[in-house]
Amino acid sequence: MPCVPQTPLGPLVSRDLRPAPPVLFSRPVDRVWLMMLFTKKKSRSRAAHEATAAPLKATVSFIAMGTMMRFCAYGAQAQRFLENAEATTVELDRLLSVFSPHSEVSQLNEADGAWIELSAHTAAVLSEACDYSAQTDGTYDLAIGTLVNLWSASKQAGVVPTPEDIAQALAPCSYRTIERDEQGRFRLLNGARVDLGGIGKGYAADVLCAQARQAGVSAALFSLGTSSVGAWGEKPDGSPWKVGLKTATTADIATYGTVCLRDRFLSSSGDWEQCFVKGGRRYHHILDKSSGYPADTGLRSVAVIADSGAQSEAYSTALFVMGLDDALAFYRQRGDFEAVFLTSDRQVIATPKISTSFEFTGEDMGYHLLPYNY
Amino acid sequence: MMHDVTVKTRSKNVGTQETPTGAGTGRTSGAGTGLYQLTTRRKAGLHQGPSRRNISLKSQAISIILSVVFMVVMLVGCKDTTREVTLRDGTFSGFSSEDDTAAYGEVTVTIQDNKITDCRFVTWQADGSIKDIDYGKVNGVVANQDYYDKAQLAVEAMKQYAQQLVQAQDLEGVDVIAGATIAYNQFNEAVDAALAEAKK
Repeated sequence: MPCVPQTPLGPLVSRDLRPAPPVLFSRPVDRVWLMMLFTKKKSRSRAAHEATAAPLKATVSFIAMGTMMRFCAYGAQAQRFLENAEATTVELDRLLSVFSPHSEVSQLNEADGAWIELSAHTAAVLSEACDYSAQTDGTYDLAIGTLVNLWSASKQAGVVPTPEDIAQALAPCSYRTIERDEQGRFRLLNGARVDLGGIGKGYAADVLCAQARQAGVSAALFSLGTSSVGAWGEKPDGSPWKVGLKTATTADIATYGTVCLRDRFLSSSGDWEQCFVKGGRRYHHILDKSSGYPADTGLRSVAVIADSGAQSEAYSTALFVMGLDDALAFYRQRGDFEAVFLTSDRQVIATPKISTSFEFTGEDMGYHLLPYNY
Repeated sequence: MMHDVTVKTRSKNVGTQETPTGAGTGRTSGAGTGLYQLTTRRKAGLHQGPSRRNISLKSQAISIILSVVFMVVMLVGCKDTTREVTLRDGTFSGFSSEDDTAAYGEVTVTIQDNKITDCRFVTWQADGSIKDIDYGKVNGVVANQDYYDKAQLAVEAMKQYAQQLVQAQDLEGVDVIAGATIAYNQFNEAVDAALAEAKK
């Protein structure tokens, strides 16, 4: 009897099919058909085991955290899962928003240095944010609330703040003003204020991907406004989620590259968002604590890819403020994230390990891809 | 009034369900179902069967049946890949959810011979007006040039989104664009809804 090797079949058959009695697939003719079935398209093995519940797609869009959320998920439970995901996001917004006077973060900011008891989520974001502030030496800093408030008011009024105003707002801006006691309570010293705008959406992406895993959803993509993307699993055809990176303009939607994500997070920081023009100069929303002004380091955009959404969002701000050279030095020192940079002279640099899942498409628009060791 | 009609048909996009990437993939999972059921039945038959000889005959017969089923499935599959997703001829509308100012996007696509031949995108504001040449004016006049210019840039961008869809025939071939504006997300959502109508 001709021997058909077992190996080509083994890894391609999904676990759910394997318990079938061996006699079932032992005849060569069976194996040939099976091999044709499974090798024609590898993802069929996955499709077959989900066959009892064909992969349904569900989507949801809503406004939260001051921006638009777009979630999509596959699987029999996808629709119910997304309803829960929306509720989770709204709840996190309720806890973390500095725009709502009743949020836990606002209570902490208004406590005038008193100890405040916080929910598990708020305490977790604050702790993570403090860690990333320390790791990035304050280039990302959650305790930058007074400076953010000053620039927001300036943007509203269409004026540039005076150097005196800036110096005053800068004084308490340090993550070192945040203290946590043994009972897990927090307090802020020196009149400092925390702003979780640079980490909240990434943290939410972490929570949502963890929920997707627990709910048994086969794949889900969470787009949290203009900053963070969380990608869980892979699409039913076996391909990874594809995220477009936008060029540095407000008007057009042209992308200069794509990044493939599987169980990972991507956050981007760009200087074209929330900016205002005064006296021929453009003032954007990514503030540099060392000067008190919007960061001006020759970068237009930074996208950070990491295993944590909170980390990717905090780091995208930090790398933008560091500038390209310092950011690459930081990358070599840490090695636990990947990044794609877009400079003001239309050059694109990707860190080495992301190059396999990053595709550069900006050539026609006059962008240049530089080698990592440029 | 036209606006009233659109409000009635508009719905939040929670739970829009469709097969993942159209007919082709749907058919693939169908093949999976067939295989699963056949193997299960065969398993049951084996346990009832009185002798090994009988089992062998049965399994031979079932192998042939399986083969025929697979051939049919694969032929159908091949046909599908060349045809891809079919869009009905006609004009289809889709709506986005509301943004923080209660404005929402409406996309109207025209389909002919499975192609998007025209696309229009407007944003309805809470007061029932659309974002056009007057968007960014305060009480009908340009109060702040910078503000007005920015608003008009957004209107221009909305036209570009629609043109780009007709040129590229799909949304950039990506699942999401990092750093995209709320307006683009609304466009995206409304296009999905309109094309879902065209696929029905």
